[in-house]
Amino acid sequence: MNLKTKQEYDLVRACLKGQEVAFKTLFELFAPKMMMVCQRYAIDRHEAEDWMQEGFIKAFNNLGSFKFQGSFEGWVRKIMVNTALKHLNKASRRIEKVELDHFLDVGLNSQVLSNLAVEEILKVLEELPEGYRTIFNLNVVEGYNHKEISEKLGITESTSRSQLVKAKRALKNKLIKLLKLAG
Amino acid sequence: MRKFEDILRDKLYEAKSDFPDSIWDDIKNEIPIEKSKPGNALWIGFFLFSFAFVILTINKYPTWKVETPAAPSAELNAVEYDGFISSIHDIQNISYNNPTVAINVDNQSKVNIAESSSSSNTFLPSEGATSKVTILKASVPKRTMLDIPQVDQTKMRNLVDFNPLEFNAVQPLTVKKKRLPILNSSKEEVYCEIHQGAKPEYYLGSRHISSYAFNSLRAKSEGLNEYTKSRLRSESKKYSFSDEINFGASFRNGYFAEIGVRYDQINEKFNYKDYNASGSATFINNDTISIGGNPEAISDTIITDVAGVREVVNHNKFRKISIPVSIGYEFPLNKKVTVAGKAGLLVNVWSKYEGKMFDESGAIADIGEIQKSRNPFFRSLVHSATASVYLQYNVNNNLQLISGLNGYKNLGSTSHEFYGVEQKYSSLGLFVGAKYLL
Repeated sequence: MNLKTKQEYDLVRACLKGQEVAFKTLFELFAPKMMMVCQRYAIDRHEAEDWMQEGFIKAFNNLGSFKFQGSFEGWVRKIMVNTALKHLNKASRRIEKVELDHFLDVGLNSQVLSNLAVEEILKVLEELPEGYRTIFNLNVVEGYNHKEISEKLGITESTSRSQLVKAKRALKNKLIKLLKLAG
Repeated sequence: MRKFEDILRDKLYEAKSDFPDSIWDDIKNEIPIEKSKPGNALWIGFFLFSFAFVILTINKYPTWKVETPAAPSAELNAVEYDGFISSIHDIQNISYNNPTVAINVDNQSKVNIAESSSSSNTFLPSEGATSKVTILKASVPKRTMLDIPQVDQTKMRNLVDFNPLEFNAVQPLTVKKKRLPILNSSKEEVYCEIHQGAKPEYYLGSRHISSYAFNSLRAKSEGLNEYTKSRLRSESKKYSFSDEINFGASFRNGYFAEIGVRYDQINEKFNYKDYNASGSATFINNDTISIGGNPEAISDTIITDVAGVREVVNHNKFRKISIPVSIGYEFPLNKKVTVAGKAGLLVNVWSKYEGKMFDESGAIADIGEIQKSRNPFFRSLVHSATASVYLQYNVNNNLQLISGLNGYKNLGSTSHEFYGVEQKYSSLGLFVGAKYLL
């Protein structure tokens, strides 16, 4: 167990004893990243803030189920993602079919891409259809496989795969457009 | 060339975003933050009280030194003679020409006529003569510390017929009030902490317990009832202390288990009468005699053994080492303070009893010198039950201070099986200690 993990565990234990300072420390430690997680799934910041708040409340009230195995950040991140997906499903914002024809499969200079700011990438992500954005986030950023995605979203694995391909192409096109405008 | 999704993942996974402070304000109203603090004041107050108690009772009686051999510290304030005190004046340097010699005692009494034998050249006061006898001091072996104050003849005269011709060295002496002995001991306890993790949390703990001990004496036969009562009357307060270290594991459901090592010491104080007290006393007889019309002062010194009854105060020490095994439960009062309770067994692995004790006949026995197998007052390896209730204060994530009540009771008699008196110790005390989470 590394020092960072041990410190996280100590904080969790302190939270279990009801120590406010421990709760606040954990929140301040992980809230910036969790805000970004929520932003990647939400339509706007306001929605992301609501989801993050709900996610933390859920996490802090269920600390007893944390097994002290693995990273606490990973545990909180899962709660955030699940919270976001719950809202997406509740609002019937289903994965919409977007025709592949709308996007060209183009190449992208990785060097140029590396220079992009996170805010710019996030802005492009927000422009993607919700279904694409969700599957892209789950697979590419969060690391879920298609089977897991299909279970979470209630779709088939093949749909997850095809939507991911389309999401990537759409994202590429939008990034190229952005780079052209910038350049 | 890296895939574009890999580049995006690297950028997005660790990316951070700002958020309004108001989010925390909303969150904290919805989570289980401990708000009440009465437990803190309760704990601090109790801890300070326990700490003061422990400090004040440390070494209340001499604890490391057994004083039994030197125990008698009697005072003989009044001396009663039911026998005679005699003295012999051997005046070697006087030559008696006149066979009749008048002796003036203190120049007051003229009734005393002594006859001397010129042949023996020895002066012998006649029977019935009075003389001033002063017990200046007692010359007593150091260990017995017998203190005989100065007594003048007038007091003695009122008590006995003084016959300087007969000296009876054995003088029953009046002693002060009596009291009786005691014994005691104390117990141990534990600590914990509630952890929600799947695995138990391990910790090391230690504590110091100061206790009042109680002695339960029961005569196995009616014939020993009076003796048992006299034993109880002789007892003063018993103080005991215990030091303990523990290794423990606490589980997520609030339960914990501990095992350790514990040392107990009961310090007893007994007050009783020793009817066979002995020492030596110096008698000085100051007289004025008239020889041939010339007054002559004489002074005789006699050192002799004396015996009597005296009050004895002695301290006994009962020590033992045990393995405490206990289980308990704890629950938080607030974020800092936890209440815990535990109970268990003290498995006795070694014990020793040192000091003195009087038996049914009044004779005083040195407990430490009697072989264990024949020692009526002592039986080794007596197990005990123990219980504690206490508060724990979280100083930080690893260190806890603990303070609480502890009691224990012997499960068996500490006196030997063949002995007619059953004796069990119990104690009730306060403790302070600490616990370190590993």
